[in-house]
Amino acid sequence: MAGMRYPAVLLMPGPRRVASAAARCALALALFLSTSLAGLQAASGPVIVRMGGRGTANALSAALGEKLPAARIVELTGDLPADTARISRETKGAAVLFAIGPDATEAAGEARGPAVVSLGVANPAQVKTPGIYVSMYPNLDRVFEYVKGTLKASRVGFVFSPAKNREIALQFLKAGSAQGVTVVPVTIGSSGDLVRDIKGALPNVDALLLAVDPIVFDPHSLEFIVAEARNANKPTVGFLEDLAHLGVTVSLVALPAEAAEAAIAASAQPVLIGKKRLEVAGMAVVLAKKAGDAPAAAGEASHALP
Amino acid sequence: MRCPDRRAASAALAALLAVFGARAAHAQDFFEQGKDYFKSETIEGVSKHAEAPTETPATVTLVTRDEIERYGFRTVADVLNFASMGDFSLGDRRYDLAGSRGLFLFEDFNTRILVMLNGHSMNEPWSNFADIGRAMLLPLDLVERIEIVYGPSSLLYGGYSLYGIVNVITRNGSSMPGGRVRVTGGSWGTGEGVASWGASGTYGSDPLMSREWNVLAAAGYYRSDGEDLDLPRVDVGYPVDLQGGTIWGGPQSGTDFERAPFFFVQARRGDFSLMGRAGYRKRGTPFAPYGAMYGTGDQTLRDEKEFVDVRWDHAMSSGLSLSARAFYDVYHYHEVDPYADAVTYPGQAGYLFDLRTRDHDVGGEVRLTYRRGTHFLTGGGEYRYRSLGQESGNVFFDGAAAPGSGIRQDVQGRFGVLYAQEEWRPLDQLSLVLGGNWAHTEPGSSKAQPRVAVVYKPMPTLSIKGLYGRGFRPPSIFEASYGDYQSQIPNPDLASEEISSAELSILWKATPRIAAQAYGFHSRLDGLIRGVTIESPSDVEGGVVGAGGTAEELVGLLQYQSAGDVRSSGAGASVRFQSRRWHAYGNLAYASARLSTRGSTGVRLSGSPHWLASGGLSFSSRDWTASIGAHYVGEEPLDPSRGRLGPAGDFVEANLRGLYRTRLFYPVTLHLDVLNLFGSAGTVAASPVYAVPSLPIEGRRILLGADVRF
Repeated sequence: MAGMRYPAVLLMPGPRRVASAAARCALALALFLSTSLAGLQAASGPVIVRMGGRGTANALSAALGEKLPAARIVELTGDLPADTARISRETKGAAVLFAIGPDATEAAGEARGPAVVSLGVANPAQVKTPGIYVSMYPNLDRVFEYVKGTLKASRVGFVFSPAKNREIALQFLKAGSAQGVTVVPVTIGSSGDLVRDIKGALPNVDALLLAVDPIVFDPHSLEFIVAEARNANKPTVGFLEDLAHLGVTVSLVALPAEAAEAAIAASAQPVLIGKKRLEVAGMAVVLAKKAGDAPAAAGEASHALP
Repeated sequence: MRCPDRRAASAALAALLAVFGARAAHAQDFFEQGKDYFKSETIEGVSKHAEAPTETPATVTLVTRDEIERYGFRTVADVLNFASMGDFSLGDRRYDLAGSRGLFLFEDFNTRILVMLNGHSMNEPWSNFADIGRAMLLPLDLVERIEIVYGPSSLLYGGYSLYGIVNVITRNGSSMPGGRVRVTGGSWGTGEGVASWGASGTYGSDPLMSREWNVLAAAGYYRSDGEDLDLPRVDVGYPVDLQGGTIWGGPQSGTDFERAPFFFVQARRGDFSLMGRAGYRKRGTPFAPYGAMYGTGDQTLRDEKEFVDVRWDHAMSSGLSLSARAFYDVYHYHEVDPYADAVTYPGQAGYLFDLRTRDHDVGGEVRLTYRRGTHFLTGGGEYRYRSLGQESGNVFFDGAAAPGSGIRQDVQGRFGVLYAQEEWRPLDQLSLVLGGNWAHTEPGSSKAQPRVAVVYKPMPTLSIKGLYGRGFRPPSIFEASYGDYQSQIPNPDLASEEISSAELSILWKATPRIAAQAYGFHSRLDGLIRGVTIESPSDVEGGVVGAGGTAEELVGLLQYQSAGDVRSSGAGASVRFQSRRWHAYGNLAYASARLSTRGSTGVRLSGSPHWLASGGLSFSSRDWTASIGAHYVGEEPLDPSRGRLGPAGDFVEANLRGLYRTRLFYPVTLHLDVLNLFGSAGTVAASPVYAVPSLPIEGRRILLGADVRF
């Protein structure tokens, strides 16, 4: 009976039994893979690739998902080779994919698959992937209108680390200049720079703008900046909503729903060579409960400017 | 390749996403999301590109910068003892001697473990020695992470890693910006100063495409007078002092000293990078090996290691990358052993044996990586030309050279390897890794080694790996070529050692804060190279004859031969927990290795403990961190020929660390370390070159220091 179940070549007697077992395993594996791969057919609809987030925190993909209910969400692991292979498998046939975050954007680029529309990348210059980048920052003209109008600031310091945000700083300088606001670069390369340059810059500026940068993710650095600005009675402006909960005077935030809309609209004309940057028109203003509150104070009074 | 620097941007994204979804998030969650915990961990030492531990075709332990700082690990030897899952190190006050998963051999000098600094092999060419203390590497506060790979994983390196790989990844100008000075002082006249400066940035005119540069330079000096020792007295039967006394032991002071300056630079601009290191370590040898005089500070070792490594990494097109590097290594060794020998040179009270080697290693490597769809192919080759010189002689105490004692030998060696590895990920749950290499060494021969790995991930957080690999270690130039015909003869026919290993490994990231790992393995090491004393002319291999043209005159001399096989098997497990304030880990490993030789079967390897365990617990508040780490070394069998003077091992050593972060204009971290907190009087098994079968570990000591960042 066994002879009927397996080709004769796999049923050699004697020492060849070992080879036979190996061959059977190989055959089984090949069959398994071929049947499994056959089931992995092209994703004809839109695809969203992202790093596995925590719970429902992924507001950008949620916003995208709302507007693209047929979109398939591909969760990545953080391992570039594995993620690249997964994107390559799961985006066959798709014309465009939406990548959320720098790791997903990089993996999407390495997969050499569909055109990429990227969201949630702080500085697109640091990612090689060609495509369309929807800015994490609100429209910079709106930012400087707010800075000039509401904060009454004509000279602001832009706090950033040159290794992470030099290109973003240049954009702020250019946009500020166009709005008549002088932007003073406050480059923070080290802990010493932080102490020296913040203290040195505050007397010469009306406000501090905090880039989306490793600086603001270091509790001690952020606390130092906020404390020094408070002592100097100068407002601080961040671009992540949570910063308003941590003592930053105001956060100017690009709305995720608008970012999703802009990304979807841009996907109609994908970019395969080079990069294109998009800004979101709308801007949410999130104020600290009371300017100068302790870092632990809860943020309130957010509102969106259309 | 995923850059660690991108973590900050990832953190930014995570924070942004969280912001919109959870407005009432607690303030600390903002910073918590900046911590990747296990997700951000990558390893490069196995496949020569960054990959997650869940994907890499090997069992690995990653020791991060955070763990190094929390627990105060000072050397790689510390890390192996306190944080690995089966590796260990026995310190004999000359070197820290590594063993792994049951494999440990006296006088091995880490020649079977591949030690790398940012992927640059530190093993020197003369005997393949690599130091895991202060002689070749760097202070660990300059280190980003340490990758420990268990088992033969030298597919892309060509050999040498019978025990595994230790790859030390340094910080760079981006991760260590600005100026920094650390000073430490404490017991036994210990003092250390390390200064560093780092900077980084981008260049280029395109606002949407930047190119990175960074530079880090560091220099430092370590000194210690060492422990004052009072060792048990033993009549060794040979003179250990100039008065003819034969009692080894008693009080001694100033013999356990260590001095180690270093300089390190690492720079990168775009595709080009450069790394260089220079420094030496000089140390006393208080336990007087090789029958030398006891209690004198004249017995010393000096290891000097310099290298420069220039590299070019270029993306040819999307998916295709080319890397090329060239390197030049220098290793100088100087050993001085004083002998109270009044017989060899009548009229002299004794002499100093003086041994020096000068090794130069020059070579290059070209590597291509090609990624297409579900395939990732790595292929390349490496070539090294090795020029070696050794001279030795006896010197009288008045400085005059002893007549007829000088020996000089110059040797050349070559090493080349071609390798290829394919990683195929046909399914989310499955990765297949298949690779092979072909290596040619002189001395030695040609070898081919395969690697096969199946990585199955039934869940994204669970990885089950089936691993099979082979590795080899060619005979070192010392083992195959050195012959002074006074104590040692060469063996031109000496064959390589070969190891094959099969392993099942499981890695489970149970939650974002808890990860567990376990493995079981079996390996077989064939053709173990050991020094064999020639007992009869028929024992001589390689057709070697003495000056008189006969083999009879070689009886009693040492020749390195393939003298046995070792079978080993075992299992290990680890668990790690991380949160914003707490960190804890535990490791447990069991391994048994048995040596079979012509004269014996299944003898347990001396000095190799069955059981190893380690663990740590750390708590951080806003400005404080307090940590305790400990390791247990199981009973180490002694060399049966040494008699039953009591077993070694079977001790616990614990270290305590406290950190306080403050700001004295600039950020300052004060640190207090109590090493061997409980003053454990443990002993480790001793090599046969010592007069006694076991040696004491270092006693309790206290170190206090400060770290200032500018």
